[in-house]
Amino acid sequence: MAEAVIMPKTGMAMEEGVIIEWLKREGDEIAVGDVLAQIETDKSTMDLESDASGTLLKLVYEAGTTVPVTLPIAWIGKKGEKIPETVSEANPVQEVAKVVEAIPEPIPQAMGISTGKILATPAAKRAASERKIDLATVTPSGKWGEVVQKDVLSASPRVTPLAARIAQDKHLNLQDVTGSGHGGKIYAKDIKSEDSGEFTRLPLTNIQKITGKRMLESVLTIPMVTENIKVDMTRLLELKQAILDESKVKASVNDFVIKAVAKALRKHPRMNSMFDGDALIQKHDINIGMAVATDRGLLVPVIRRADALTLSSLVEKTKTTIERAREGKLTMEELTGSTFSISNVGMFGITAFTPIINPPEAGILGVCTIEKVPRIVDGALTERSIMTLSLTFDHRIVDGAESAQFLQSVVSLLEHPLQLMV
Amino acid sequence: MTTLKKDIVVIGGGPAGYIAAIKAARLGADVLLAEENQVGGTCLNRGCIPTKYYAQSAHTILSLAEASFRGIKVADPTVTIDMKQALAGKNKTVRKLTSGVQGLLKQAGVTVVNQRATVTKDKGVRLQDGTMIESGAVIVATGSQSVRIPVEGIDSPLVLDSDRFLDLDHVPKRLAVIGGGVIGVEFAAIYQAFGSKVTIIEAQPNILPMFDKQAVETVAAVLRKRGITIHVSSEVLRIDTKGKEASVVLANGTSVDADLILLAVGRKSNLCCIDGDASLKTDRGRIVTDETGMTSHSGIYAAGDVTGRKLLAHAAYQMGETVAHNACVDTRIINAPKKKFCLDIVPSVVYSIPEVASVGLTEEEASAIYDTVVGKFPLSANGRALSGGEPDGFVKVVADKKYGQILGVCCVGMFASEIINEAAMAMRHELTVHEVAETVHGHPTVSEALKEAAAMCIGQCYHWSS
Repeated sequence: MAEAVIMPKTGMAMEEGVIIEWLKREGDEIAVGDVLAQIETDKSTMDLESDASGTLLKLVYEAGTTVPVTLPIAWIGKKGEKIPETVSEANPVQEVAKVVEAIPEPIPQAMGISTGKILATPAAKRAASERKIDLATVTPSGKWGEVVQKDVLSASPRVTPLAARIAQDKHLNLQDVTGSGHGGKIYAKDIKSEDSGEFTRLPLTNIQKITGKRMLESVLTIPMVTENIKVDMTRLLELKQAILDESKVKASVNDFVIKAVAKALRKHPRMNSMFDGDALIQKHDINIGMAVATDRGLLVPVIRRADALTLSSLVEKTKTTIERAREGKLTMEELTGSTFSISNVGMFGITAFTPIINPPEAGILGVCTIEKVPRIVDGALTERSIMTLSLTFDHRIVDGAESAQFLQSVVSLLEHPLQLMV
Repeated sequence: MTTLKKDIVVIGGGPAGYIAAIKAARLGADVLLAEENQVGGTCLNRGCIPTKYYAQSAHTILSLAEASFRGIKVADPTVTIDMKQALAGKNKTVRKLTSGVQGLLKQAGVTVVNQRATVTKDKGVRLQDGTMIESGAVIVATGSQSVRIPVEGIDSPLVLDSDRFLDLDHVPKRLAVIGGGVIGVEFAAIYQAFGSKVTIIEAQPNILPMFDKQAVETVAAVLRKRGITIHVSSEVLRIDTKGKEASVVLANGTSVDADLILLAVGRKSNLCCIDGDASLKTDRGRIVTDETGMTSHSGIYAAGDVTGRKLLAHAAYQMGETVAHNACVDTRIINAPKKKFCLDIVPSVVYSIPEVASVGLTEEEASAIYDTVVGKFPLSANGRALSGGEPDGFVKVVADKKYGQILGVCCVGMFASEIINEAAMAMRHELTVHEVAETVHGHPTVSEALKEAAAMCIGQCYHWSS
């Protein structure tokens, strides 16, 4: 029976997709894994790979059409085969099953950070499972870094079964290994050098690789400046304790900083912008990215519209977000769309540092440790709790004065914390 | 004195030399090959091929003996071998192959001179007739020859080495074989079938000392059953010759009477071509080379038996190809990185009837290095071997427990010499026991035993429960 090619559902929220371009014509011979069309979803464009092989019998919709997810958009079968008239004829149960298969993999976007899972198309996954290939060993060529079927097919002769077993056992990533065999095929001796007596080569997780790449790109492309400023946190710490005592809301210093930054960004919208060549794109929503260290690497989940959250809902939100990040449960939606980031290393006693901008944002605020220091306040020597904030900013978007003003606003809010409550 | 100019000179036309010459010529070099005798070397003229011709004759004789069990009635059951005719047949096959090699050399455009050649101090080559050859590179592939042992009476005319034995035109009544290695065991099996009363004398505790112990036990048992006497851990004290009879006196006092004695105690490198001035570095009589085949003199390569690495024709082919490539790199005929000898996975075969073949490590060697698992499938459970009347033997796969890497394979019995190549293929390309066990093998074939032995390593052999 002819098989339907359906509009894929690539995210929980995706309801419809646009066929941008058909790359195959009716009558073309199709192999599994061939790219049939380019599809635009609410977030991205993607290549639609064929799960079936045969003759492309019918293109149901023309390019440019918006089609609800899971509806057949083309048919593949034997030459001259009849196409079912209605969807129900086409064994809808089977189609639903296919939809489910397509759902779980979110596509990494602007943030470019994945949840550590290997992204792969269903066809690629099937090919990998059939050939017992570890997807982590396949070099992805998909637009969003996902492994597509042809990557698996072309990867399959690249490594001997023995080398594949050793790699899997030692969690080695074979992507960068040069094979000594025909066509670069990897033999056991090629990877054994990775674990020489002198050193152990630890392969990077996907998150670490992507983070590294983006950090390098950030440093190389953005003219960055870092400014440090001291904040007197004494009153804020008193307030924090009072809130805990009186309302049982356990807010962290970080929560107050997020709140202060969100409020200050409203006042200094250029800090909530991105550089776009000959223009600045000023974001209306204030979405704070919060760097979280996990055992798989650095993640930056997003607290959306942080300026609109009450302290208690912010506390709740950051707490669950951090937990979900550490458990590897974040969705793509929670990992994308930040407009400004915060990185807190205060718990490690760090007194100042130079955070790296999370592109394409305008700045990142580094939060350092709080030290108890003697200070003269109103002519009297007193003990105060002093914290350093390290702001790195994109000098194309703001200059030193503007960024300093933004920092002053943040400092002022933290030093007069009741302002944060209104 | 004439002087010739060549890109590359190859000395010796055996498997290493002729392959090196053909390959270098195909790569574009102007090549001269000097061979004092017939091209083809020990392998074609005095080793592999002639012995296999006789081994097949021995097989035929043994299968005739088995014929009656199959209901095949032969009116006159006396089987004898006319050695003159056998010799002529053997020589014809050898000529066919050597002329084939001559043809290949000619087609490749190699100049073949039928002369002894010597390497001179300045890396030149001098032919017997005095002609000097200047070249960019020299490949020494002069092979090996039988060694003699310093034993009283060894110069007896009744003591022959394998070269001379292959030109025998009669079958000795009683044959004593000194040396239970590959050559000795093959000749013993052949001449037993031809009608000799054979005794093997081996100094080591086992015949075929380099092979798997269980395999050797199986072979020894079959040979003994067939009437061959085997003395192991037996040193030869002296050889007494009285007219047309000799006795080999062993250290333990035993004396083995024989009409002919085959001396097969090993082979040594043939260094005649460097007797002159070259002073190439040698170690225990072998030319020392690095992994690219380069000797202590840059520009002079050595390949094959003369290096003492692996005295096997197929190892010589590999070395010959390697040095030809490297010599062409040196002489700028090709622009490529140099290659290294690749001799870690080389099968070795004994045509002992039953055959023994092995590749990689023995079980003992492997278990000293790895945590091993062994799958051993008996041919008595293999349909093809049983119907062929050869139930003796087994295929043994030694693998490492962790990854299933095949560390060594040993086969004894029917078609062992062919099955071992499948094992070598799997090992060379790092197929593990999992992949071999997954590979559908034709049925009924003896090779199925390899699959079963691999499957046994992962507990998935369903034709045998151990």
